[in-house]
Formats: sequence, C-alpha cells, structure tokens
Amino acid sequence: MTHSRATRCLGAAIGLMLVATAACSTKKPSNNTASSDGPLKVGLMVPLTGNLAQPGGWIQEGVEYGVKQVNAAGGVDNRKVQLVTVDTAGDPTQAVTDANKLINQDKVQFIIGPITSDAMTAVLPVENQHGVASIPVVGSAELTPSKMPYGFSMLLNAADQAKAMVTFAQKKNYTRVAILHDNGQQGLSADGALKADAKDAGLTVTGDQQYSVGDTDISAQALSLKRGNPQAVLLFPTDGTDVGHVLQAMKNLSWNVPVVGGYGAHYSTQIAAVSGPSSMANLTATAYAPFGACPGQSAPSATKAFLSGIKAFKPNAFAALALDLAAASVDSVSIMKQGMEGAGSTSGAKFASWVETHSGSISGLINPSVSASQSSHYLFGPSDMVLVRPGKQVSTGVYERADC
Amino acid sequence: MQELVITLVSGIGQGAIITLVAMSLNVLYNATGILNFAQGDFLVVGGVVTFLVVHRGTSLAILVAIVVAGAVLVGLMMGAQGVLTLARLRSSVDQHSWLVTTLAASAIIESCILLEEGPAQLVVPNRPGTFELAGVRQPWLYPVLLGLAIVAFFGLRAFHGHTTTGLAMSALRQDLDAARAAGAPIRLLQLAGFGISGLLIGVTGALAAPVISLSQSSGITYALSGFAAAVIGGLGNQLGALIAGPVLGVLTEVAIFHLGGEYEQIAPLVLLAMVLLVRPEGVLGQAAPRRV
Repeated sequence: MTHSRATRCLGAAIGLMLVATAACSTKKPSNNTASSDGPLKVGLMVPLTGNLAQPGGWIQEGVEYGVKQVNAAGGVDNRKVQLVTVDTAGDPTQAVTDANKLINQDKVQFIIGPITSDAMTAVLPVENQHGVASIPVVGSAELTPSKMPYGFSMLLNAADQAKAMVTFAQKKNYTRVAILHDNGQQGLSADGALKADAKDAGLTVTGDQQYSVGDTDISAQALSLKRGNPQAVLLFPTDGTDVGHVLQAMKNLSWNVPVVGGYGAHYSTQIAAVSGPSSMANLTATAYAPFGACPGQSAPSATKAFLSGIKAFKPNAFAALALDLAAASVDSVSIMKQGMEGAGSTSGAKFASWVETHSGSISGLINPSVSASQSSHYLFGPSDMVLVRPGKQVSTGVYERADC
Repeated sequence: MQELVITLVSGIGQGAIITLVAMSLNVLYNATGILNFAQGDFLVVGGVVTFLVVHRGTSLAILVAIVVAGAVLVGLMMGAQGVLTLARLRSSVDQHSWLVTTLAASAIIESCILLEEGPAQLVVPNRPGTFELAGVRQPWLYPVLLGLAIVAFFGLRAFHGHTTTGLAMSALRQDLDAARAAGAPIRLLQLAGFGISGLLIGVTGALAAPVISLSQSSGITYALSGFAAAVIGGLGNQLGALIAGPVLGVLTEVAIFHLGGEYEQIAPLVLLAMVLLVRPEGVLGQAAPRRV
C-alpha cells in the first residue's frame, strides 16, 4: 500500500515538472536581445595589458569621456550608457572569449573595439552571428563591408594612409622609396597598399622590411634598406616607441633620409623618449585633421573644447594621451548615439544601414565629418586626414601640417 | 663592411643577453631540475630597477651601484620564489608542481610591473653611450654584456669546481639520492641555486636595460630565447649556453638582413629544430642514461 502511494506521489511530481517545463518552453526563445529599458550596455574591448596596452588605455580614456558627454546630454534615446570594459590583452583568441562574454553574458547591445585588425577578424563571426554593431579600431583594407557588415572603424584606413603617404612622396619628387612596417595585420596590409600605390605612382621600391612590435634593435632592417639607396622611407608602425627605435637605428647608421610615416609615427612623446626630439626633424606622419594646423593658425574650437574637457576629466593621464586617438574614441560614442537614434534601433543591421546612407549628416564632437558608405566602413576617410610634422606642435596636441 | 659590423656586433650583443638568460636557467636547472618560466620576467625586473633610478645625467659609478643593487634585489626575489616553489616538493625530479608555481610567479610579476609602471614600454637612457665601427654606431653595452657572459661562465666554473658549496650543488644534478645520503643540505643548496640564478639574471637585466624591451609582456620572449639557447647548447651545460647565445643572435641578424624581418623569429626556431633532430641532448650536452 505504502509503496503504491509513494509511486503515485512520485508520478504526480514528475507530471507537474513536465507541465511546468512545457509551460516555460512556450516562451519565445531569446535571441540575445537585451531589454530596451534600463541602461544601454556598451562593451569596450581594449588591450589593457600586453604590447598595445598604451593605445588601449588612450582609447579607454576617450570612450569614458565620450560616455560622460553623451550621458550628460541625456544618453541614447533617454537611456544612460553603461560601459562594460574587458581586457583583450592584444590577443585575438582572448578577444573572441571577451566578445562572447560581452554579448551572451553581459548582454551588451554595442561594442567599441577591439583595437587590432587581427582581433577584429577573430571576433567578426561572433558579432555577425548576433547582429551586434560595433566601432572597432582597425586599419586593414581587408575588413570590407561584406566581412564587417555591422562594424565601422574609427581608425584611419591603412589603404587611405598609404595613398596619402605615397602622394606626399610624389609631391616631394621622390622616385626611389623603401618600405618598413611592423608585422601586425594592419602593417602587412599597409605594406601591400604602399607597394601597389608606389607602383601606380611610378616610384621604385628599393627595399621592403618588417620588424616585430617591441624590437629594440632594428639595425639589420635599416641597413638592408639603406643598401638600396632610397630617397625616403615609408614607415608604417603601430607604436611610437618602435618609431623611436627605427629613427635611432637610422641615426646609428648615419642614414639621414626623410621618413614618411603612418598614424603611429606621430606619437612624438614616445618617439622622443627613445631617439630624442631632434630625431623627428625629417619625420612626417598622418594624423586626424582637427589635430593639424599651420603655424599662426588656431586649432578648431571643437578641438580646443575637447582638449580642455579631457584635461579636466583625466588630469593625470592628459600629458601622456595620444589626443587625436582619444578624440576619435570620443567621437565613436557620439556616432553610436546618432546612429542608434537615427535608426531607431540597436540592431546591427539597422544601425549599419542608417550610417551608410546618412553619413553626410553625422558629425563627431571633434572630427566634423564622417565618410562611411556602403563601400567603406571607415568612419574617417582621406578628407579627414592630414600629414603633420610630429616634432613640431603649434599648440598642445596640435601638430604643424606638412603642407604649410 | 657595415653588414659585417651589424651582424657580428648586434648579433653577438643581443646573443650575449640570450646567453646570460640561458646560463641563469642552467644554474637553476642544475641545482633543482626546474625550468623557471618566470626567468624572463626577472630579467625585466632587473631592468625596471635601472629604469626607476637612472636618468640621462646619472654617473657611471651610480649606474654600477644600481646594477649591483638590482642583482641583489632580483636574487632575493628569486630566493623567495625558491622557497615557495620548493616548499611542497618532496623532490623536484618526481613532482611537477613547479610548472604551475613558476608560471604563477611569471603572471604575478607581470601584473606587478603593469600596476606599478603601466603598460607602455619603458625606455632607459643609454648612459655608457655608443662607439663607432666602420661608420656604424653600436652601444658599448654589447661588448660589455659579452664580457659579463664570459666572466659569469668562468666564475660559475670556478664556483662549481673549487668551492664546497659549488661542488655540492653539482652533485645534486648528478645524483640527488647520493647527495642526500651523503648528508648534503638539499633544500639549502637548491635555494642557493635560485639565489645565484637570480643574481645573474638580475645583473643582466639591470645592465642591459637600455637595449632590451622593458614592458610587462616582454619577459616571455627572453625566457623562450634563453630556453632555446640552453637546449641548443645542452641543458645544464654552461659552455653550450655561452656559445649558443651569440650563434642565435648572429643567425637572427643574418636572417633579417638577407631574408627580411619576417624571419626574425623563424631562424632561431629552425636552428633549434635542427639541433633537436640531430642531437637531442644539445650540441655539448650529454645523453642521460635511462633506467628501464
């Protein structure tokens, strides 16, 4: 008797569990869509450790300032932005883990970062699968809209920089150039673009060398390039310290030719720490347009407002900040706000579609125009870039333009 | 001529750093059988000590004092690591918890450097300056580091061959059980191994600071290079390490110059693979008998 009663109780309990499970399963399956109430969670993927921790820190400072500005103006669709920061350590594998955590666990609806093309390439399948929009910091020309449908890079495109560098070399009547770049994906991409643009421009590439980020002795590479007797070196670095080591190696070889650099070659504080301020006498580099001016010219008012604002926000970090990269990071938050409000959605597809078709009406807080389109997912294009002399500042954070 | 200068001077100079890392690894390996994954990070710690104190106007006398202080500090730190690493080991030969403890030490040191100095690469002024050879300027530190490697080699040889402590430490590697049976203070000798290894890597890091990459993530590169040199020369063999380091350095420079920077890391690995295929015990190592 007792046994059959226990059996009936057990059967009833199992039945109740089954009914409850069935009831739960009638709920719509989650598509990882976070709530539209409450704060807007935005993931920030930057390296805070590893070789790229310094630019990672600059971007973090800029984004945090940008979030402060956006929240002070009411947030995004009246939702305050809440930043969820993860450290990618500059490792593409770690970046994938971080992206999964941000999207599946933290339920972020937008991602700023990661900051290398290698990491972005690794993360793209995760972001694309979940339809999450992002603003990474990448420069590889291989990250086309078809590969990166919901992502728009805040960095100057390596291909655009290469074109600007070769055009400058042409204007200076150089006919023989050497190419030196780092071994990251962006550096390799830039190498291909530089070679192609040089060939189109009728320049002879006398040598092509690469180095690893963090190398302190680049003498062998420099001597190998010097052997070809170029009139200028086209240098595509990631880090200013590496530029310092390149210039030091050239100085040790008594090799004094102009160096035309990509974006990383304008980090003058880092360069000077290695090879001294005088080493930049013959150095030109690409930079965001609001941070270049001719002597006697005033920086744009938006640039000045940004400089005073971020100095007040991060007084201890200000002196070491790459100000134009921080400014682009601030703008990434502003552009995210404009895109989401314009699209009326946090959906990656709708955000991307809106930005592609309305870029002419989008403006960053500091960078006045956005150049993205259906054929290019780079927010800032050739018209948003200038060549500057890193060794000469016309005012704090604003460099002398090379075309003055 | 410039090619020869760069290849030899840079190659041997950078190779001397690798040699010193390898020799410090060998000291510890001979005393304990442990390969310290944190060795490269201790090199960086030595460099950070110099970074914190040295500036462009520092006198050479102060610099020497800083190098000595850096060596002592790192020696003490490695001694402490030794206490923690060996504490739970019945015998370093039988148990492998040292794999985890040395990796943990590496992670802790890297985190401390990051918290203290931030993520940027630290740049130390080159106080000893440069010399010119065939129109190429090279740091004085390169020949100085080679000299340090040679002095360290003969110093360690004299220590292990002519002092009671050194002889006892040599006995540990040859036959741990016999050494224990003979009454040798095993733990103390192994800790001494950690300390001596720390002194060597500390003086290397402190002295070479202007010419090595100093950041919280650069230690592992030097550890791997040192390990490669140690294996190529024969694990535990200091003469092998002394020769292998400069060979690796010169080979790397030749590969970069003639083939391109993309071969910078491939060339040493190819050499390592070739040596292991032909002579797994290393060029000057001895094949160890195995009881079956």
